[in-house]
Amino acid sequence: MGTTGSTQDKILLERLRDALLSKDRQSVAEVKHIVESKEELSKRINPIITAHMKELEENFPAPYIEVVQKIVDQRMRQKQDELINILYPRLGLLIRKYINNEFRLLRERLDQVLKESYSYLRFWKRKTADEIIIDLRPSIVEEVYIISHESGLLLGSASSTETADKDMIAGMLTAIKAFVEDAFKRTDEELRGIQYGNYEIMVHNFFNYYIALAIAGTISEQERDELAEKILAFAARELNHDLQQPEPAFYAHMQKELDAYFIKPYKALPQ
Amino acid sequence: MISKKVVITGHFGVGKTSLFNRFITNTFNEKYLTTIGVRVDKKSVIVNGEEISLIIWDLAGEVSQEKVPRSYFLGASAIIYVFDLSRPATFSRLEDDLVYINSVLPNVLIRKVGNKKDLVSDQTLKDIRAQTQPHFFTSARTGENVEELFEGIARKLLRPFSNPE
Repeated sequence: MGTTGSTQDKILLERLRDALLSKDRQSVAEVKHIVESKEELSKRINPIITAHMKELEENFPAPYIEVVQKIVDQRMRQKQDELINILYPRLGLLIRKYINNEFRLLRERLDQVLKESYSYLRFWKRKTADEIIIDLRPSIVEEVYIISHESGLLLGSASSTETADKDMIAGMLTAIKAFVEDAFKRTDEELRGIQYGNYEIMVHNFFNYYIALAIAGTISEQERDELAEKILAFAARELNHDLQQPEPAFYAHMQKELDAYFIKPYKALPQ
Repeated sequence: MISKKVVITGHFGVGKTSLFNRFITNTFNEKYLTTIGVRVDKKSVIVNGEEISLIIWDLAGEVSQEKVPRSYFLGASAIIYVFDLSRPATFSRLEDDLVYINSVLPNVLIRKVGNKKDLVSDQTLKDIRAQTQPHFFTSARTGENVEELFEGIARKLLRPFSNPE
């Protein structure tokens, strides 16, 4: 008797549930369909995302600009050396190209003036001073060094001749450079070369390193310009990153690149 | 191989170049030849199987470190401040000089070295130790503690946190 009563209660309860929850069950089924159907879900969510994106796009600067600026500032401060190492040679190249172009134009104008003034000289085959210098003694890049400005530690080198210890040369060169720059109290000027006899050390300064070329023979102004341009191009290509603590593999890589870029082309020239 | 710049500095005639020569070439010259500007040399040191190249800058002596071109210190990983144990004038400015060096190179490894140990008595050494608290008493003439000084620096530069001061 008790069992029959309990079964009837269950049936009644189920009917009651059906009556009360039918609408809810229908709604749940609809929601389930939407959630499980990608198409239906996109139809409903996409307008919300689009609206949010639009709002973010329109109002982005207001709430986030400070945070973004802080992150960018921090990142730039951390990567300051790297950024300068990237920009320095490129700026140098631009300035050099501009100056060269202006000189070329000036030379052309001068040539024109001279031609018009002394037209009879056109019969003479005259060599320029540069051509005469090159004819006398061709110059050869014998050694090349990349040296840290502050510590004088060697970052890379290549050489066609046997020389004294390269670390020592880098240190002494930096010491001489520091001495000259310090002794004359010209903080805005930097040593750009050392000459002795027919030998010259050409120095090209960058932000936290410098490149020194040891050149045998007399170098003409045109060659000097070409070498300076070559150095800038090399720095822009190979030294556009933080050089504070280079990996050991960097030295071997630099030796190979410096040799290929500066030393080998001169080895190929007839002496 | 890792390379580090080490600067030897101090008053005139305290034996900086003698320490430098003793360490680099294991030689000692009785003649005093003043250093003009700076001399740079290098020596490789092996510590626990690891090799480090010390690029050593031997600076010309100055009565005050403020007179040394600032650029000579830049990029140094260690400074050896040398004074002459037989001439108190060479360590009378020691603290001021170290404050200046620290202002140029914050947190640089500094070694205070009393040189010419062979010229002074044990009592004098004791007094100077109390006054200056040096890291080493050396003698470039006999070679005493010279290797230890540079090897200690090499060890510290390779493993900055491994050994207590």
